[in-house]
Amino acid sequence: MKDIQAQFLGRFTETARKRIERMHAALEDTQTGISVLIHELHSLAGESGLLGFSQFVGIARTGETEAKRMQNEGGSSAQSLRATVVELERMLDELSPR
Amino acid sequence: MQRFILRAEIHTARETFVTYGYDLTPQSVFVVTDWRGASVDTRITVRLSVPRALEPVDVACRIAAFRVAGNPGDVAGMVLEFDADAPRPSVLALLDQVQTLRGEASSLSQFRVLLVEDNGLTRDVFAYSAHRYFGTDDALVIDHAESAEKAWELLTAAEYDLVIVDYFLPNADGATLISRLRADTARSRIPVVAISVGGRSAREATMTAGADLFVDKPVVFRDLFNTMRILAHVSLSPEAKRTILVLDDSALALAVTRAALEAAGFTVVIADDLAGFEREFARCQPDLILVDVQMPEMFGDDIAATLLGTKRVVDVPVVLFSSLEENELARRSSQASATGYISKAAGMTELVRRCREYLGSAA
Repeated sequence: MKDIQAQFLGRFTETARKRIERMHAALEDTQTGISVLIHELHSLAGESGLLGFSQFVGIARTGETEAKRMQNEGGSSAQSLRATVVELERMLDELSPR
Repeated sequence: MQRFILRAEIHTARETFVTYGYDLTPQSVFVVTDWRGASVDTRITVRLSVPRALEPVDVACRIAAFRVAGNPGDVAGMVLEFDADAPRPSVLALLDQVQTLRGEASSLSQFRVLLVEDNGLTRDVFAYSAHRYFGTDDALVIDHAESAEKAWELLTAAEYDLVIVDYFLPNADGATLISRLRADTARSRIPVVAISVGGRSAREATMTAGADLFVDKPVVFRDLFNTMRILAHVSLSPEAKRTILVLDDSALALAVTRAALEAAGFTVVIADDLAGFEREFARCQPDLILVDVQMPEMFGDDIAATLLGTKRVVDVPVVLFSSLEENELARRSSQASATGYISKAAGMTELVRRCREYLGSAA
């Protein structure tokens, strides 16, 4: 399956960068953006898991759980979610430098 | 010796590239055409496969020599010696598979080939040689197309077991045709062999477009026919008859899932929304359904519950397919009375293993 991973690396990084952009935008207004954030984190976890980039899965899942908590309970700070997104971005740069 | 063609992905310390090889024996394989500055005694890793037929194996090798073609049909290239220790079991396993497939596929049965080639002489020689090689009793059908446009007409009118495409064609090149084939749901898994006099650039263009194998012209037809025998067997194998329908709103997840399952020999049909799912479900009669859980229009567990509850599927496993945590997936799967679940986080190898498991239990 390594050849499939190599084949899709470019598409993965391109898709992940777009997802991270949307996450940053969603974090500007968590009232309206929280469901977008949950969706993007969830999709990133799935895509990275499938492709075997497992380092992204745990962090994206943690972010998703936290975002769901914020959606359900409200009132939480977006600061730690922002840190999660920045960490995902850093890992993506490490996997495939710009 | 009966030769056949192998896809060979070569991994050196500096780069990775795809080429092809012949003459697999426990001692060596000749990897032709491309050596890119390698020298004798260099150690490399080669991934060998017949795509859609033989699972890839990684083999550590030493470049033992270089060979130059002296006569028509001679193979030029690197002579590789497999490492004597660790990779040997995988090489022997591959050889076993090849021997088995050769043995069982001693003749062709209802094998339909499309040769896309504008050179009339090549077409005639291919047809003549194939019928001589396989015998007139075999149900081998060879169709010809002189252009990519004509090829597409034929591809939409009949089901092919193999497409052989010349790279240099009038109007649109062979790589364009291969890309179109790979993007078409109903035809994306047809084995494709690209042929050309164009060497490395033609090989890279066609392999990038999705060809399974590339063979330099002049093609040694006998070797191609041996490979066809392996593909003919596989086209009749149980997994090739199993269709998996996948519903997911992520285009990337769909593409990766399709690539992984097709590499394992399954037929894969994809849908990225409910309307597409309904359409493909009615059309393809799937043997297994994978449903993503978090879809924009509906939750996958609700789709599974509806399919199973209304008996729209009978004896077809419906499996949740998501990156949710396992315990959450298990809970949702149980609540929806789905057949089970597969975690995306477990990766492609596990995906294939679990699909085989669900299909096995459904048989």
